[in-house]
Amino acid sequence: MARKNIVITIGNYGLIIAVHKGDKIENKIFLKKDDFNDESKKKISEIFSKNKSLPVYILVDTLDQTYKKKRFPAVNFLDLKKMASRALASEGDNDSLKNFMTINKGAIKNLDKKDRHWDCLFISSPQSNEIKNWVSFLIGMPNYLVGIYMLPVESYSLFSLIKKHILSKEVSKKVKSNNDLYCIIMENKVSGIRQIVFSEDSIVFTRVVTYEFSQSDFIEKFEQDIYATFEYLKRIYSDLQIQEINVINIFSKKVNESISRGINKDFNFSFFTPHEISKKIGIESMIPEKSKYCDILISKIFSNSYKRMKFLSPKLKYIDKFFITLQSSYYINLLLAISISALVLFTVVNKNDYGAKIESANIEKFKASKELKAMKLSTLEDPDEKRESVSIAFERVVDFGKIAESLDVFDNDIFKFYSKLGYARKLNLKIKDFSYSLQNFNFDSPSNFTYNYKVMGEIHNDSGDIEDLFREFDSLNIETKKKFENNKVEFSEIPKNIDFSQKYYSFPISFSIKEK
Amino acid sequence: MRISTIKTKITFNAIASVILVGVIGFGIYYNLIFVKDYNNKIDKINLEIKKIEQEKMSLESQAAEFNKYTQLWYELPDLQKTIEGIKSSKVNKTIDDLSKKHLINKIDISLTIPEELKSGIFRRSTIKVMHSRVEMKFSSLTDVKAIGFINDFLSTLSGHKVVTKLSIKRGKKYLKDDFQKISLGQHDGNIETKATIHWYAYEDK
Repeated sequence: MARKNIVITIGNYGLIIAVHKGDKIENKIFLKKDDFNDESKKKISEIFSKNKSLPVYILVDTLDQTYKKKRFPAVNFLDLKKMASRALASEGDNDSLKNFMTINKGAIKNLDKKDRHWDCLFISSPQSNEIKNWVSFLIGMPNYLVGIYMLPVESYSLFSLIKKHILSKEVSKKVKSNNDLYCIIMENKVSGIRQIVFSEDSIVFTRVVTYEFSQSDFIEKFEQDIYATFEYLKRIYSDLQIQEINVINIFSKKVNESISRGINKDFNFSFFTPHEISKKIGIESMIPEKSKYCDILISKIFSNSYKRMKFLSPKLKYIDKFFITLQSSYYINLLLAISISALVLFTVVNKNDYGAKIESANIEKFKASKELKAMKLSTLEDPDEKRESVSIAFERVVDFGKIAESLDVFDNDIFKFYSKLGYARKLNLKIKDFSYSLQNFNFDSPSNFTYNYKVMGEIHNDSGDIEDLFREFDSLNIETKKKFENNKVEFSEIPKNIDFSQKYYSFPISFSIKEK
Repeated sequence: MRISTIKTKITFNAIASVILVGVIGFGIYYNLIFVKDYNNKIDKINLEIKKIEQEKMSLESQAAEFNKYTQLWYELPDLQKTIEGIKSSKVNKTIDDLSKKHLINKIDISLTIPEELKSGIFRRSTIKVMHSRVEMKFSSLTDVKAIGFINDFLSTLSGHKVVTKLSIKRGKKYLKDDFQKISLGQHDGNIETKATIHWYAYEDK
């Protein structure tokens, strides 16, 4: 991933400042060791001011770096970290840059349980005055100084890319190896020639070597150095064969040819120029074809890659804590800003939702009002036929209706009832007294009433036969009950003391007709 | 980057954080108030809709009532819809006229002072309901004449009438002399009638 940052590569001979912006290097300056003066500071300040948003990384490639291998028991990683930190602290020289890394993380799982252990590489480098001066200078710049990194350690990114893009096709096919070790030998402008040995997982060993390529005996020295490295590595990898070390030489074409011609053929050698490497890993335009140095190549790869090990001086640690706080505060504010956006969105959605609800309620209200209005027009206000014909107020119609409804239940047609009694006369009943009454009638609340009709009279036999008298009485009884079948009819009885010696009889009788 | 610069930026960010938290707080408060306000508005509209629905229902029942009573209005005799209150002078004149017609004698009639009924079904919006109790007692030659007299009397009264008591008693049988007296108009008749009538008449409000 192409990133934007500034990488300062500091070596014993000078430094290179490279401003990386994506795939390009916008600016690069080489300063010799003694050129760090006010004039150059001013020039550099201008570059930093122009790019104040870019973070700054210091990549150190000095001679006095120490790489020590230490073995720890197979504890968990957190405990290992504590143990290693204690070991680092016990080394003294608190001012120097120190850190550690595991070098057998991938292999530890393959070991027997009893043989399991952590192999760690302890890396330290004293803070030279040059580094101190640069750190002080950079702290004064507007850019954020991320930290100090060791070039040999961070070269692992270069090694990974070489392995991925080149070795997988060329070198690894040559030798079948039990110990995958790779020795990159390259020349940097700021620090000279460096050997770096990598295992599959990490850096194993590094050192600076010096050769005069113009002298004819440099091959001999070159070979001796490789043998020395091999001897050192045998201490770690006891069964290591010299052919198992893949030696990757990154020099100018001329140097590569010289080495290739004069070197022992037993060695497992590969030769590349910096330009060839950059071409194969896809950053061709960065490195000129005739370039013999790897500084810019490493700087670019470091700029774009994952940073493996950060070193902080006490002062940088102190600043770093504040910077983490600052970064956290940015993230918190970002989170708050997102929350506000979400809240605004929620409010807008909510408002729309409620707006729609209100609109829907208003529509419903409008519909109801319209229906009510139409109903009013059709029933009360519109001059419909009934209203026209009645042509009086609705309320008055209701008033009369309600009263009539209550009072019409009182059947005033007593006279019709009275005339109904005509049948009784035909049955020789002489009505002497007729009465009608409404029981429980309350004039201001006319309800729950009962009515009662009472008829009193005399029945007589015109034929002179007493049987006719009883027949007439029975007929009267039957006829009355038939006529008033919906009512309760009660008759008085014929007296028991009848004088049968008489021919004509006349008996008083009465009956009442009530509500059932 | 200088530590002082970082500190300044941290301070600015802290202030910004406080402001943003304040904005969020305000946003939440606003939303709560807003939701409450909108719910109130919706409740208010729903209440109005409910009122309209109730009014519609009331109107429907009124319309049904109106239809029902309009029908009844047609069926009611005009006299029952007449608004003229209770006038004793008119009653007296009617009694005079009808007694001659039906040969009624010994008329004794009394009306209680009309009173306005204001409760129950008599509490109406457009009319006043006046009530008077009419007690009458008279003699007649026949029960048919007595019935005819009362019937005609009731049919001249406006409003509603409720007969609560009626008694027709026949006296002793007519003799020859009685018929002569009757023909000369000197006999009151042997039918004694008593009636109690509750009269509900209407006046405009």
